[in-house]
Amino acid sequence: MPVSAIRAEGVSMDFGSLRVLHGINVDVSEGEVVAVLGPSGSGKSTLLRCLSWLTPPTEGAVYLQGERLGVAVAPDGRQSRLSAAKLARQRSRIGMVFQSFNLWPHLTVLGNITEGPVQVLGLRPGEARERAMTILETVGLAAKASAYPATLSGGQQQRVAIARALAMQPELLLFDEPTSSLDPELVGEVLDVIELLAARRTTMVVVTHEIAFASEAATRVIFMDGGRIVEDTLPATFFRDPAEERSRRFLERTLRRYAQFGSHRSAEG
Amino acid sequence: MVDLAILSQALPAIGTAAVVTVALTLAASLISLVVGALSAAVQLGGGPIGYALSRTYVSLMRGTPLFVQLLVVYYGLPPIGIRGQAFLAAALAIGLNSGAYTTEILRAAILAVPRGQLEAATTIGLTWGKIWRRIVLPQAFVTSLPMLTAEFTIVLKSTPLASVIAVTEMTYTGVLIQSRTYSASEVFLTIAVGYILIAQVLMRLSRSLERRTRRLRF
Amino acid sequence: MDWSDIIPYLPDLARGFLKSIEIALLSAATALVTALLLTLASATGNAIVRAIVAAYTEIILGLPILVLLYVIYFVLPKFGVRFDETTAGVLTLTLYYSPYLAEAIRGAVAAVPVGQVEAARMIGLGELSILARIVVPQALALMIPSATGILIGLVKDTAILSVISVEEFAYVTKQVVSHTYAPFETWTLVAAVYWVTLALFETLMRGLERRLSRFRPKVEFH
Ligand SMILES: Nc1ncnc2c1ncn2[C@@H]1O[C@H](COP(=O)(O)OP(=O)(O)O)[C@@H](O)[C@H]1O
Ligand SMILES: [Mg+2]
Repeated sequence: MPVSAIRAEGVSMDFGSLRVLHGINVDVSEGEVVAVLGPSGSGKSTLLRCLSWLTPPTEGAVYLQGERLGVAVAPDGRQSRLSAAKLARQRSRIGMVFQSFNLWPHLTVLGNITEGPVQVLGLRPGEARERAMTILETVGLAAKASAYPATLSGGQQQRVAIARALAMQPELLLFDEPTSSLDPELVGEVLDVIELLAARRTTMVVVTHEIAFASEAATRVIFMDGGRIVEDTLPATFFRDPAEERSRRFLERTLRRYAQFGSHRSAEG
Repeated sequence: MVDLAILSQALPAIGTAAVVTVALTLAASLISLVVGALSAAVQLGGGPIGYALSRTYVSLMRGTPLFVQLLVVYYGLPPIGIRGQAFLAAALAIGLNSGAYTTEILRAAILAVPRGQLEAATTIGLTWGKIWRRIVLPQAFVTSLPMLTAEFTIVLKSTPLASVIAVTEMTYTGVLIQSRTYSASEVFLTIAVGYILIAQVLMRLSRSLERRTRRLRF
Repeated sequence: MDWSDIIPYLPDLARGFLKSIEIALLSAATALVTALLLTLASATGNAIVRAIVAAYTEIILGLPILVLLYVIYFVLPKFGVRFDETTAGVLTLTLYYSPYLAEAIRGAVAAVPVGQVEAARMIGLGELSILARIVVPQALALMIPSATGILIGLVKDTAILSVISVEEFAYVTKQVVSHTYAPFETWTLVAAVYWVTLALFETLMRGLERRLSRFRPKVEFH
């Protein structure tokens, strides 16, 4: 029986009167690499933000290793908002990588990576630096440890952002279109890192438009449209024989562009 | 606390003085606009000497209190043969002071006109004079209109300083009435409301211009 | 008239100058603290608190500082609130400049991208740590240019306090003028002193900004 890393139950999200997620159920087991595909506006980012409780969903529950996220449940079943400190602790167990990197520009690469381990996990600065350097080796940026983010290329910045998330030794990683704001020639270096993590069986949910990545590195594909999960299946099945008409159309559109522009080109904003 | 009888006696005088305040605001704003436009033009197109002159003017005006500038102008006019012209001195001092800020506003607006447009204008054969008059200045004026209106609100708020050289605008009138009647609350609260009302008109104008020019720009 | 007539009065002028500096520093400190409170109030307060802050800001934006000074110095005593001249002056500068400084603070904080705050949340930093370690270090550098302009205004407006006989630079100058009968020369000298002082202040602030934003690649606009 696989252990559930993160699980969403009946997650719905409203922005005003607009419902952008409709009762999403999804269960990601440890070691799974889930690629989330879908047209722009289908609710992929919103789903990730609900899974990380950055924007708490309007309805439904999220469980991190079986533990209710953001909500305290009393023995008598009554629910209340989890304290800010406890929520922060829970979030520190989830690594998140954003489309726009979101590095802290006033801290060096090393400062960005050691911030969490020192301030949240209570590591000694020396320990945190050691951990950071090991991870920087992995993402190929050890030489940039003392550089400021603004001096790095987009691909380098995104690799630092991944390193920052890894330094917390999270139970899973969420990626929201990690390569979409990169120049085409820089996409590969970031995907290489994510593929390396996939090979190490790191639990990941990756929102992406990179078809090659989804079909080769992912163990599972989720296709979203209109705030719903339309398909949730193996990559081989999804790419060879999609069950739904909507997935088929999406794939056709995407693959046509893909053929036009070649690999490492994002299909759609 | 507030004596309405005193207030009703004082109101006509304050009303007359409000007209002087508005006149002073208009005169100083006009001077500010003319001087600011000249100074911006000289700074951008007047070579190194023009640049240095304009920068020094801006720095001097921004680096010294208007209060002091006012007295320098006031005491500087008689030796050159202009005597007893407190209103003129106040309009000049406030206008010259504001002109420094207007310089900066116009300069930024002119520099914001995309270079590509100038190149396009040159390639279709427009002369420099025409480019300035027909391409650069109209756009710069539109971009800077809200900022300029905001600057004229600041001019309005500077006019009370003219009271120190006895220009009978609102504040000086207030001081006079208060020294005669000792009814400070009635008088000063009334003129405070007067300024806020006039400023509201200017600020609303500035905000609506900002909305409109934003639409105009694209 | 001769410039040398001013020399005997230089110690008086120096005394006035120092008093101006003292008032400016004190008022700048109180205005910054008040601005911080205003910012916090409008960021975290309920609708009523926010409405009060907004109304106060709107009033100050339309009220000349000299009129505010008269209201504080002449009107408040009628309602039993009495200050000595210097206190009235510091209070006026504080009340007048804090909304402007609050706007500078608000603008600088808003300029820190929200994504950076979300990244910090995902690392597990608490809201206070995020403010202290992510937002403030950047906002500080971002607010310096606008805050410098506002504080220069504050320093210059200390001269207005002379109308209620605070014995600062402009007030002492008026007295010196009544002895020397050289108003133009004396006021010109005083203007020069303000100019040099404020130029120095501006240079210092620019240096501070450079120090605080060392992490940004240099982009110069001229
Ligand atoms: N903060 C927000 N306020 C209002 N609407 C939002 C907000 N965020 C997302 N939406 C809407 O929710 C829908 C899904 O958006 P998103 O999750 O970003 O889609 P995707 O990431 O798949 O492109 C879109 O229609 C979008 O306009
Ligand atoms: Mg998205």
